[in-house]
Amino acid sequence: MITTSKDYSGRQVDLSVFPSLATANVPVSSEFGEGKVVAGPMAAAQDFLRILLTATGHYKSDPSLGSDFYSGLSGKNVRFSSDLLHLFMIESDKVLDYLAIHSTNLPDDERITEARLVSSQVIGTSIDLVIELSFVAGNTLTVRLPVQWSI
Amino acid sequence: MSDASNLGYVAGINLDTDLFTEAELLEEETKVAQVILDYAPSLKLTRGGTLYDLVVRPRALLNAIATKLNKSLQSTQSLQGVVENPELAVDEVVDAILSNRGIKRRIGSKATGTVRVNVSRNDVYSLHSDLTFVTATGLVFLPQQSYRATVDPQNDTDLTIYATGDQFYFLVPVIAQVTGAASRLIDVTELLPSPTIPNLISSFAFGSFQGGENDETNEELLAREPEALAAKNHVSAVSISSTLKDQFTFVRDVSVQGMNSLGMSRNASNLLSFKMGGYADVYVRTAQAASYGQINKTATLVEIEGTTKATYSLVIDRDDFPGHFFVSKIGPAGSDLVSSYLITSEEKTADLRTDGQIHHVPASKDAVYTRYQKNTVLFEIEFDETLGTNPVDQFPATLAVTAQVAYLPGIKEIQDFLSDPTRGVVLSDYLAKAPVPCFVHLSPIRVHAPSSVKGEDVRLAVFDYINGLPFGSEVRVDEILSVIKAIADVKRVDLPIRITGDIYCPDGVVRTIRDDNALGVPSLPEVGVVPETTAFFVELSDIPIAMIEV
Repeated sequence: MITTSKDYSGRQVDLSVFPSLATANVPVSSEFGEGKVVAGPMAAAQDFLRILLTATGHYKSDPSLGSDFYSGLSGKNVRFSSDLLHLFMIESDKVLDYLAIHSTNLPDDERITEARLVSSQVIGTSIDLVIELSFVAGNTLTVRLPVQWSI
Repeated sequence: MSDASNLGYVAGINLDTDLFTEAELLEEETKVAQVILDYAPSLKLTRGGTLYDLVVRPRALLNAIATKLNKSLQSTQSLQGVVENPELAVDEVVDAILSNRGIKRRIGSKATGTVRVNVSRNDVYSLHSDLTFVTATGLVFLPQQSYRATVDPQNDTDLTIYATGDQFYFLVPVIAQVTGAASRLIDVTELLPSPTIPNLISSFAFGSFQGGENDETNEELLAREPEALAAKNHVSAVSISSTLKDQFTFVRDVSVQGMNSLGMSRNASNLLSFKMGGYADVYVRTAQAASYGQINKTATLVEIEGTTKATYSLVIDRDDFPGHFFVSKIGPAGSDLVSSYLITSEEKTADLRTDGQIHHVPASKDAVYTRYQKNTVLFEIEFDETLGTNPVDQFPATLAVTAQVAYLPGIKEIQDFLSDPTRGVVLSDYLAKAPVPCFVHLSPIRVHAPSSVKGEDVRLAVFDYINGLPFGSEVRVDEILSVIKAIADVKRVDLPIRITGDIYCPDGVVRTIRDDNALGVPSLPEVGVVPETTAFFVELSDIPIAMIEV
């Protein structure tokens, strides 16, 4: 039986691959198999995170989709937190530009205007990123994104 | 792998975005997204969305592949479409289309020849059929069966060991491992046996190899398609050619000389020399190059000239290599024919013993190169004083000899086919003939190229060109230059290239022609030589190539 956690009647829904986005301060992880769908800010956040972590040019039909954020996370490029911030700002802007072009028909609470790296913490070989997304409608959404990085 | 032979999605083969441009994929994605949206409007299918990436993009790729495969299938409805789409031009697809038109691809053949193995000791050598001889370029040849080399051969599978100076050698009949003209080695090409033969000094090709033809290419088949659609009877030149090529896949070229053709003379043997209807001389080229076969015969003593020499007579019957060109060598029976007795003359006459077929052959020259040809060969043997015998004892009344004969195969079989009364025009006299041969020799060809270009490849290119010329053609220097320049990295070919041709005319005279630009067959109908009845042949050993490294 399909259940809904929020009422998005009249909205277009997408497949939910990061259900943990629904809970604050829970690191994002992918889960499949429960047939969940998502809409609203979490759908937009999901798109932002997926595109941020997809290498540029992964899809031949969409060479501008993706970023070099993940490939840029190496000990050679990122030594200090300022380096990480710089990398995030550049790559997240690319993602936002892409989303802005292709989400013009979406509701205001699904259109992201800004992505801000609130904090970052290195835990072993993983960097825990806290990202705040701001939307046209004025709402915000904070997500925790753990990414592996290479030394 | 072609699309047409690989219908369906195959990972690693056609499930590949590189098969399409960005625009093509985007167009398919738009269509798929619209289809899904029409079906389920509540789904978010914007680019960058999860459903779009996980469902629309893969589905679009599959759709694009299916469209491409469908177009490929449509192209396979015609041979022209296949040839214009190289990725479809695989043999299975082409052969399937051709089967609808009754055309069979001419399958290549394996080259055969002899390898001379020089050894240091006079032992008994066992050669198993898994022995291989390999050239420096990787061409592999196998013995035609298991042999035993010995000085005292007892069985058919025994090879004779010959002595030469302080070394010994034996000759191994071999066949190429794969079909193709590349295996046609020239004389003294070095080969390495594996496993090695005990006491081995060296091994190399003993004489140029024969046979070895490539499969007919798709382009050659396309050129034959119109002819193949002709009616399958023996009425017109086109239909005779088409029928013969269908029936005998080794037939390369056909030239039909009819009532008023310049090359037809046997239909005018009447009081007023009027050319009469009802005759057709069908000249067929049944192989790219002349073959050389050996036969054991008994020669008859003609005369002994004092203490100098004796003349013998040898008859090559009509069933011995029907339609053969000439006898190239004669030696003692069982010899390796490295040397030959001096052949002084060949007289070709007609042997029209009835075999159920009746042909009008008014002059001997009309039977030349047909299966009714009988060849009486005279050769001389020098008196050997060192033997200490007198001429009467040294020259017996009959002598067992081995003769090597140059010929084209299949002439008898083609004659039998043409003479089938159920096929031909009633009251017609069809005579199958091998082409009048013009053997070509070239002056040394100097080719400027890097070391990566092999002289053998240049030689083979010229060989294929000259031996591929149809009836009525000329051997042209500019075409020789073209085929050599078509080889990658060849920089320059020096001129002049002098072309000489020896025409073995049906009247028994060998006439020589020469030119530095284009060698054409002269029109000599009175001796049976016109361009339409004469074909050019060249041996690999008659194409001297000098490679100049640049």
